[in-house]
Amino acid sequence: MALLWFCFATAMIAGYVILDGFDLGAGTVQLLVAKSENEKAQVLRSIGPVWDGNEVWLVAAGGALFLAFPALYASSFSGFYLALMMVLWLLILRGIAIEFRNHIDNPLWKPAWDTVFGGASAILAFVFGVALGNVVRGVPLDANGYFFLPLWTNLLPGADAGVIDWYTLLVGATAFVALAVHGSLWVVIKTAGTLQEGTRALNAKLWRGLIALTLVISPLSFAIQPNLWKQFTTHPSGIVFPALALAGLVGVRVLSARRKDRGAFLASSLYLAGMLASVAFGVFPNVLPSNTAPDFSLTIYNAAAAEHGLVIGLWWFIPGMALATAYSMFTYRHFAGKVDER
Amino acid sequence: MLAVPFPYIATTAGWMTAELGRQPWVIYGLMRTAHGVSPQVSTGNGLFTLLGFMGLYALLGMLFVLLVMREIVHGPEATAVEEQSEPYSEPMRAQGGIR
Repeated sequence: MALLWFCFATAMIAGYVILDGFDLGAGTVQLLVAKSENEKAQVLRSIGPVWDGNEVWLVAAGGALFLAFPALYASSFSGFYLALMMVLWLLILRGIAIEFRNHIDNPLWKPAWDTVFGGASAILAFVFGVALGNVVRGVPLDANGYFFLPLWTNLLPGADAGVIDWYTLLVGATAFVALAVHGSLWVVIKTAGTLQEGTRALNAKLWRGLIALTLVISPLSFAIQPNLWKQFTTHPSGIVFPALALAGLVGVRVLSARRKDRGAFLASSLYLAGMLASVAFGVFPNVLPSNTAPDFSLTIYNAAAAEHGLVIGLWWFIPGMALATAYSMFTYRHFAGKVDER
Repeated sequence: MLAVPFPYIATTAGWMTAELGRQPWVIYGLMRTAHGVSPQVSTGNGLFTLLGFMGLYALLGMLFVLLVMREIVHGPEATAVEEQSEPYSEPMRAQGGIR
């Protein structure tokens, strides 16, 4: 049952990264490609009806972790306290920027909120990558399953590392570029004209960066976290996850070069899901490895809620997610097609 | 128009009644607030985020007041002008136009 919930939680996080990932990436597109006020508004309109629905997946993923792995939830929320509070501030500012922007037609007001939106989106994409890097590297858990990380120490991924070290910085950079690629494919689907052409060009450039970062980050992860090597050698079938990620990454370039934009977006979703599944498979059975004493690692077994709670959770989780999936599909169909260019 | 602040007073007061009235429990009858404190988070970090939230909320509060005041000063006539610039829709014509 704990294993089932581990798969659910991974799927929820992958769902969040794919959905909110493209609207975070759209923020980067707005920052780098959209020049005129009208183009910036078009980028915002492309995510307007869906971005807040996408963020529900973050809450739902957090809820699933709270339900299934309360020890992990308690430990990571207090250990990453500073980092998570800043994520919360960025999410608040980003949402407010989208909502406030169109209320005053003033040459200072709109660009200011566009900058807040683009900046917060880009930093969030980066910070989520840093968080993933921390899960791979491990944190200094004590015997009670708690830890506290300063934001940074000496930037080395050793035992006294902070939230930010050179490894997690690289994972953060990879996440930023990956979501920018993902978001630019969304903007290409939703727009036309010079904005679409500019976004295509950005996508092609970013893709080269992403493949380089992916090839650098993958062997480094094996060096940082020995559990990855153990998992992939004892269960070689797990190679399917990185293979899917690689197929997705190649698919992005092949399909977007042929102007099959929807296909390219799906390929980029496959890349993100494949990368996250690879991480989940690689750290398994840990949910949060300890980088000081391996015995203190939080695993799916010692962090899971009681069996009864996990079973009851299914009765709520399955209909709840079916409902969320249904209304997401409705929204995406309803707002399909390109945004107005006015 | 003068009623604008009241829903905010009502929700905030209700929230505070629930939170303060429950003390010293964080989960009534099950867990004391003192037992729910994160042992690893220092006072300084708590103070930093408290100040951060106060600053952010003060900023957002002021912007909210600014926007509400603008809407009030703007008044309902402005929307009528906006609607007139577009061709009348069928139901509006049926009602004999707008204002």
